[in-house]
Amino acid sequence: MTEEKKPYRWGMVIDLDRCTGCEACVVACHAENNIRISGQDEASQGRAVNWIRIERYWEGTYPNVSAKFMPVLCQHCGNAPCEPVCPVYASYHTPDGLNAQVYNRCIGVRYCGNNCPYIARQFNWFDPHWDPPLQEQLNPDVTVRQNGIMEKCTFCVQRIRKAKEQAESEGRRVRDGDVVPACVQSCPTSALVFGDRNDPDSQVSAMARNDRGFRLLESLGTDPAITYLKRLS
Amino acid sequence: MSPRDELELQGLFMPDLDVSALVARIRQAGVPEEQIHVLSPLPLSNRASDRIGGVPLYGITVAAGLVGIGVGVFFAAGTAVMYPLMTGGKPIVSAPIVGIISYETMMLLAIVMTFLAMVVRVKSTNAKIHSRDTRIDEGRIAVAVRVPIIGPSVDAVRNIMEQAGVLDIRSSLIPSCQPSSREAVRQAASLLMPFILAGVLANCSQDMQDQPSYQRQEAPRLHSPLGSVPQKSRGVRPLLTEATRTEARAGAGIFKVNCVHCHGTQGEGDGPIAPFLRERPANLTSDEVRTMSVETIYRIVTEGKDMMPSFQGELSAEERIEVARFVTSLPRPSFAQHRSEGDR
Amino acid sequence: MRESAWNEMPAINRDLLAPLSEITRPYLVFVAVLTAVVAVGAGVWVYQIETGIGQTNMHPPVFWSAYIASFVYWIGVSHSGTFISGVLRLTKAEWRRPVTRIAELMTIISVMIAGLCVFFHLGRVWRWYYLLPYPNQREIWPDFRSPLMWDATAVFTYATASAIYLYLPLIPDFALARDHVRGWRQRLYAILCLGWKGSQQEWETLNTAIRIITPLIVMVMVSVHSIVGWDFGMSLVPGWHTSIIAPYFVVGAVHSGLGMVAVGLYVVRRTYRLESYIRPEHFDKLGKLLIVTTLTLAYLYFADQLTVWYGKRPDEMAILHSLVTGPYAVPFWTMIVLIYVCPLALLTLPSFRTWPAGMLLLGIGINIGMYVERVLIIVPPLTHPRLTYQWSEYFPAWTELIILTGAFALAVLMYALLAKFVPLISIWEEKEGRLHVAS
Repeated sequence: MTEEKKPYRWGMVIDLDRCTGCEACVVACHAENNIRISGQDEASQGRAVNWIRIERYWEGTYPNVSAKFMPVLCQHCGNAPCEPVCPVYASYHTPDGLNAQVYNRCIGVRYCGNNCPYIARQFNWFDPHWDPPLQEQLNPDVTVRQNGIMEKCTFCVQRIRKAKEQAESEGRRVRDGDVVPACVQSCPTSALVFGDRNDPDSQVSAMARNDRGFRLLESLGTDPAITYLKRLS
Repeated sequence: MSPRDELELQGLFMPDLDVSALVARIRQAGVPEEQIHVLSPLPLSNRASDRIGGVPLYGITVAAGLVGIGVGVFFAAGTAVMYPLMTGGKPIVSAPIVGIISYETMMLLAIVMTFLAMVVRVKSTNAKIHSRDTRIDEGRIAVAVRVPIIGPSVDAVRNIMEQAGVLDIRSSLIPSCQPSSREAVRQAASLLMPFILAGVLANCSQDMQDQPSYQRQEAPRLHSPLGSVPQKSRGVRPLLTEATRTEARAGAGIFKVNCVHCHGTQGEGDGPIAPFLRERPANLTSDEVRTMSVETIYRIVTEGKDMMPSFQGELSAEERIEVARFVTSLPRPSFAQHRSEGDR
Repeated sequence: MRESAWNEMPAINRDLLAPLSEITRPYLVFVAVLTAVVAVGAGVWVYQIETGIGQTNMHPPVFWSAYIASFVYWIGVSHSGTFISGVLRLTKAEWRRPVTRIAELMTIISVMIAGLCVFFHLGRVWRWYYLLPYPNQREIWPDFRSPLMWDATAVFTYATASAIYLYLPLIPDFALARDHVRGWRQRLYAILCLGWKGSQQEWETLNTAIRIITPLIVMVMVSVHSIVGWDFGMSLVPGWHTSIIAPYFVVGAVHSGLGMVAVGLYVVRRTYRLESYIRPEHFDKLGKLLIVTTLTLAYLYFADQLTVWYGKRPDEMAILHSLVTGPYAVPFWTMIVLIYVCPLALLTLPSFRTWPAGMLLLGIGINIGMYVERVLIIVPPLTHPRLTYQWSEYFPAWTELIILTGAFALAVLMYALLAKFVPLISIWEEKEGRLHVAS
């Protein structure tokens, strides 16, 4: 296969040593992907919709307590357990290595939500609502999902698509750094890095080869596309 | 009544009747076997053979089962191959899945076809029998014999039955031409109709067709969204510093909020949404506008003109006069860009 | 002796056709109350469709809850009919005769209610037809790799087969009813009895068909609840991903089904004064079957939990702890008592087995216990995922409870209405049984 025709394999590296738990990525994801406002009642029920969340665990007992946190989002697994269990093909694997969710096809069976070991999937329990004029800030590139539909991180597929179209119109491949998902863009410490893992020279590939690298729940054999770098301190 | 009409003689007997002997005697009298039927309220023998003419029932079951396996393979493997989509690293076609689906479809078709074959057989069998003496349900056996009305058979059969101890003989005429019954088809249709209607009327929903987000193909907003900027006339009093208070009173502030998006910061008709409009907004620094009086501009702002919307209701009369005054005071564009106070 | 069997037939006809025509005041009140409950349930369901599944208490990670538990429970109850009809026909057990029709009616109604529970559960129920495999302009078919499509195929097969299996032995009874019952039902009986005359060829055809379909439907029965179990077994959820889940579900289904049959037998016997047809010996035989299923189910459950307990894998131990001593302890131990301890303790006493009212209470207890068991299979594993940050709790919301009560009322209502249309005891098989006893 020629260099031009080689498929992309989108992946991410999350450096836990750099992550401060500031949740800028969470906010950016909300803004970019038209995530619904859950409100206090729904959040207290556990229905706050976050495509990326910072999981925080306490270790130790007082006074030697430390907080361990890590960003968890859809891992875009190579052997995604959420894909084959959808009875209507609303969830499938793109040749790019993305776990795609087809909103129009989803009938809300929610088997995929159960089967994700990372609980990365969210469901629209109600119709979303934005008090005007908040709906003016919605991203026109991203479908606003109505009730009854599963959703999750798409690696900002709208940005990937835009970069690919731009590259194709210029007759080249997508360069490393062309595609920047919202979370990666907003991270103040550059803890999140995104790119093409099929390109051995990309930053993502280089960082993934790091000795500190591990993948979440790797023993399940889900082959996630996200490599975490262990925290040192 | 024609010579080819037949008579059905139905004789009612006690259950201790020697059925096979009676049938043999009736056959000896010249009546073919397929025109003799023994009616009972329960099966008289435990033998469930399949010697009921034509294809044995088991054959239909097996054949339908094989077709069912084919249907299952089509669903599980065929549709996957037709529209291959990778899911979860699983192969597009895999044996266990094809096996499970084929097993179920095999059973489904085997059972349904066996049932339908049975229905066909039962109906074709009992079409030959004209009536049923309901007294057999009380614990009797009936023997129905169909004989041509002309000939010695009628009396012969009657005699044989009486010798065997018949309780009662009923006879019914079977005309040779029988109207075909479309009754069953009509009844079947009336039973199916509700389901067909339900399927047709299943609604076509238009989920997510109207998006709350502001799509590129939609016309641009000509007014600021409600509540997004403070407006004096709407009772929202912004925090006014000394500088802005002057500005607001001078109409420049009103112009900045309500007019700049179309007419541009300098009023030259080059606001950010101007490229999306069918007609270019007016250049307020042009000679044409300069010659207009404050009243003319006030009227245009109040009533609107061509594509420009009316600002009556958006702005109070006082505000409209102030902005009209401001427009008349717009400076002629110079080579060096003129920046008004507070303009960014 | 044989004569006495034949002479009983008028009495049998009268006794077993009487319920069809008997419309008493308590019956009408009963039907009215049930209709009201169903209407309320339907109204709440429409409200849920309009506003969203959020009306339930589900939240990530609990994406499945009471509706799926009900679906599994009702499919389980539906195994009653197939087991009693099918397996007992295969073994030529004579005591099945008064029981089969009651059980088969339960089967077909339960399967329909189970299908309804799936509709309750769907997020976009108005797009349910995406699940049907038919050529369409969307150029896409359902995904048969999903255990839910296996489920759809299997339950459809099972529903069709159960309907056929209920209908086949009904044909001679419909013929009998056509001749003895007047009114608007007579026309329906005339269509449905296929012009049955009762000739020996027809009997042989019918018996052949029944004998062919019986082993097939028993095989379908085993596969259906295995596939329902594989809805859970195929997933990676700790506590669900266990190989014993298919046999466990099948045996559990038969267990709850038999319990429901005990309830049905008592109610029919009492309401229509059929004490001479449904006798204590039937409850006794049913009780013995129940002991077998109780022991088998207990064995399978113990085998499963023993491996969990000994292996001490943290993800599975968390669930076991939550069941035994944690937030789900009360429902868990209630379930253990109702479906294992009570049946074993009581059914080993022959005097209890022949006590119809006791069997009724036991049957009710078993069904309540099995319902709780279904919920406990679904909810605790979901509330304890591997990433412990998402651990949470769940209890059904009022909307779920009302809708499910409406579904239950619909089942009872359909049964009560069908009792006025279908003879509740298979008349010709009962006559056949008397003849076999006599000879």
